[in-house]
Amino acid sequence: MRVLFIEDSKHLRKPVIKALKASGYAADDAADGEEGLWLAQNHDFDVIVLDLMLPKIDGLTVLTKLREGGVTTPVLILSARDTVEDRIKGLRTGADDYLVKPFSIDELLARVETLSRRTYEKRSSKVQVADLVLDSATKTATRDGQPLDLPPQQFGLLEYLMLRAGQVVSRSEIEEHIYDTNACVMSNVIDSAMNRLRKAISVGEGSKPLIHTRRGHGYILEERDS
Amino acid sequence: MRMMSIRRHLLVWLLPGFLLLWAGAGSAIYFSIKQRHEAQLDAELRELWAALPFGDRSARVSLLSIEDFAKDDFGIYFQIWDQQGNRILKSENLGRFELPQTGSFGSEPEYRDQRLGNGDLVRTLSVGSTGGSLGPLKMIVATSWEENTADLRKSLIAIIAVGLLTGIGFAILLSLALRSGLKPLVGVGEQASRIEADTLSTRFPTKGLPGELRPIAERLNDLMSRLEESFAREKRFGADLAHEFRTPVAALRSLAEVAIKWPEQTSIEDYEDVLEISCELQVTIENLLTLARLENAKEQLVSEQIKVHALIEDCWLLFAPRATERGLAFRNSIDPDLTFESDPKLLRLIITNLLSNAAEYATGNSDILVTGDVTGLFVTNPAPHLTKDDLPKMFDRLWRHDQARTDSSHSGLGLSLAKTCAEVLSFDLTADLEGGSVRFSLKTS
Repeated sequence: MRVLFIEDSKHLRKPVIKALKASGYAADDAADGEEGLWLAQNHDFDVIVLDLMLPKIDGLTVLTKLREGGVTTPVLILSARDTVEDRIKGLRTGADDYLVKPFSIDELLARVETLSRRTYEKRSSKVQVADLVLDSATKTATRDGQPLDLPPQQFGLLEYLMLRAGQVVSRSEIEEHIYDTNACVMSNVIDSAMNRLRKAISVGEGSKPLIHTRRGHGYILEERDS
Repeated sequence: MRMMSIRRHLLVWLLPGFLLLWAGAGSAIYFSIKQRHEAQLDAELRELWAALPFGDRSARVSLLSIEDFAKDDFGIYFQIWDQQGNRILKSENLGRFELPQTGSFGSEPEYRDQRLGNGDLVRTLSVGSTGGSLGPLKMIVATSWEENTADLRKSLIAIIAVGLLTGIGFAILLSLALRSGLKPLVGVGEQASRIEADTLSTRFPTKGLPGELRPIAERLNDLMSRLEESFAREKRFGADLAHEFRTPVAALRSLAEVAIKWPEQTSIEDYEDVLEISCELQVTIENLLTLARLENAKEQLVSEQIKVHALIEDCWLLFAPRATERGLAFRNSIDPDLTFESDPKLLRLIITNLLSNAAEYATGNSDILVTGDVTGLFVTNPAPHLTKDDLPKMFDRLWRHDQARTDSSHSGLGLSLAKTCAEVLSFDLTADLEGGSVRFSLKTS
């Protein structure tokens, strides 16, 4: 899952980005509305967290331009403005959620997670494919009842594949959703990550392979009979 | 105590007032009619007296002819006494009653109203006679008020009836006139009662208002404008204050929560951030407290002769590094001997904030010019980004030209502090734009 955080306060950007990354998200940040709009228009984010009082282009204008441009990425407004009018205005402009500063980092992560699930039309935080179960809320995954020890990025990759279970996921899509703009994605990085994930979700000889390669297309996570 | 409405107040005063006036006028009419009747009766009595044989004051009094005169009951009476008061003669129609023997009975007739024993109210003429075969006599001729009383009663009833009808008509007309006349006032009152904090943009219509109410409506509109601006300013201040504190508090909280949740990711940089945020919050809080305290600072003012040129040079030292960094040239062209009599601490606070503002926001690589004379001092620097709309807000607490308020090293309280200090010192601090430059004027008088 990839999140864009548009916020002019560098002091706030740092811990939020850190928390998002620690929770398995690929996170990008922008310090002003202009940069944020460009990133949102040119990358495929799962969630955008947007401040309202921004330099260059204010948050509501960014949101309006995104919606006018056909970008449907869920947007969570994170603002110091707390009046009902502000919230209504934000939601009516096209935001999917509104959170007032100061906030609990857990609440922000929960809301981001809920919005990211919405992208894949999942209502529950739990996703299951065969005996592989992933819980986005608790950031845990089990295989055949055994807990899996996954670093944040691997967890993010598995979550993305499971949310799109049964669908072919291309390398570029993985690149867009799992790695932030600072990551230097070499040609074999995704293959290596996929191999590590395959090993990580294999808990014994009886574990059926769930991640399959479709040459020339990408990867698919699904349960196959043999 | 609840005040009576103007309408009721006017009705309560005007209606009884009218009735009182009408009663006065009615009484005057009534007594005038009565006086006319009296005069008429007196004339009749004089005619009777003249017609009587006794009346010609000749000594030849014919008692018989007198008796003939009043033998029929036409409401005319007479009675004659001798000097000792013994009745000599009276008209038959008096029956067993007698006319009261009152009056001086001189040669000149006297008139008065008297009531007979039979209850009849009469007008009497009393007169005395000196000669005649019977010697000096006293005589009273009387005529009944009966017909005249009926006329007077009719007049009185007419006066009362007209008074009542006119009173009712007046009350109705007055009520309608008051309702119509007070309608604009009621309208203004109703509109005023509907004003709430969220309807301050409404204005009282002045077109079509009576001349007496127009100045009130105009004044109210003026007050509403000021109130609206004041509310907007407070709202802006509230929103700015929220941002000024909520964002750094959010950052502090996030830093702490992330450090607790993922301690392995905590670095010394996080603590540096905490320190920086805390220092910025401290500056903002201290500035706000200074602003609050300044409102009561007048009692603690000290008055000294201050050399303005030297003070400005001293204050500028604080901002010289920042100005050099931004390529700004500073020129203090104030006469070194110019002095202001003022409080040194507050004057320093004003100058510091004006110079800080110039050093921070003047266009890069431009000039900051400080001039002055006995009338005040002036700080000028290029500021092409400012507009005339910014000028009224520049001295508001927490106002910043940058709506996003990104630069957390400045809270937007400097100019507000300078303005408040100037007010405490009875100076006038204003800003105006000219040719892309902003000029702050601190006027001493």
